Amino acid sequence: MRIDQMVHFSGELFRTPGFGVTLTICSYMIGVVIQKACRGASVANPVLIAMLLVAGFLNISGTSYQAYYESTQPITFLLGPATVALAVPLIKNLGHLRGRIIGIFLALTAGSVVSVLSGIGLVAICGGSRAVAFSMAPKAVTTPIAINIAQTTGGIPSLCAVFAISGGILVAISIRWLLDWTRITDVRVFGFAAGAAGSGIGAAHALSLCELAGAFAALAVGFNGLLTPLIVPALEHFWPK
Amino acid sequence: MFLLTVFLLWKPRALSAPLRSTSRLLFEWLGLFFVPAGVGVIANFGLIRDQWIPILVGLVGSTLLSLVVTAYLMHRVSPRPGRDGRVGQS
Repeated sequence: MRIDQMVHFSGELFRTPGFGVTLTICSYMIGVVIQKACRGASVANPVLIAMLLVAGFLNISGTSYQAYYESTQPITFLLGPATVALAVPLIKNLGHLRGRIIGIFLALTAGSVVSVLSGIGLVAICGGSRAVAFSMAPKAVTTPIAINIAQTTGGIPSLCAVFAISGGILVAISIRWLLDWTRITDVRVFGFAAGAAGSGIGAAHALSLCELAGAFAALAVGFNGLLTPLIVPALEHFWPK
Repeated sequence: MFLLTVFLLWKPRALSAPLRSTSRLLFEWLGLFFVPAGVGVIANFGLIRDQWIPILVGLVGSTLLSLVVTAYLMHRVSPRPGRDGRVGQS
C-alpha cells in the first residue's frame, strides 16, 4: 500500500464512531492506571492524562478535533444521565440536609457569584477579550449547562468546556491541600465546595472519597446549575458585545 | 437531576437496586465522559496561546476563590462536624 493510501485509510478509520470511543476509553484507562501507580495522587488526574493522550494522538495522526468529537458522541451523551444520577446520593443523604438548607443556599450563592465575577474580572484586568471572559464566567457549572450559557452570552462554547473541565481538575487537585490549610475536616464541606467550584469533576472527586461528600457535591452542582444561568446573562449588560 | 430527586421523594420505593447500581456505574466512569469536550483544548489552541495570561489568572484565581468562599461559608453555617463527618473516614 502506498503512503498516501495509508494516510487516506487511517483518516477513514479515525472517522468511525468505534475509533474515537476506543481511543478515549483506552486513554482514560491509562490515566486511571497511572493514578493508581502514583498511589492516588490527585495531580495524576485521569481526565487530564486522557485529555493529553488523546490530544497528542490527534495531533500526530492529523485527525481534526471536529471528526474526533463527532465520533465520541456516545461518550459525551452519557454526561446527561450521569448528572441526573446525582439525585441518587442526594436522596440517600437527605437527612443530613434538614434544617440547614438556608445556610447551604447562602454559601452556594456567594460561591457562585464570586466565581462568575472573579472569572470575568480577572480576565478583563489581565487584558483578555470579551469572548474569553464570557467563556470563563459560567465555568463552575456542570459542563453541558456552561456550554449553553457561553453560547447565549457571546462566549466560545468549546473554550468554555475546556475551562469548566480544567477548573474541575484544578479543584480535584487543590481541594485537599486547601482544606488542610484552612483546617476544615468536615466531608460535607469538602463535597459541597468541590461541587460548587468544580461541578462534575469536583463531584466525581468527592464521590471517590465517600457517598456523603458526593451527596453534598450533587446538591451544589444542582443548585449551581439553577443559579449561574441567572447570574451570567445579567452581567452581559455591563460589558456589551 | 431535580426531577429525579422530586420523583424519589414522592416515591421512595422507586430507589431500586438497578437504579442504585446504574448510578454507581455512571459515577465510576464520570471522569471519562468529560474527556471528549476537554480535548477541545486543541481546537482553541491559538486563542489560548494568545491570551494565556488572562486565561491562567482567571481560571486559577476564580476557581480557588469560589472554592475558598464556598467552603468557608459552608463551614461557618455548619459549626458542628458530626463524628462521622471527618475526611478520610469513608
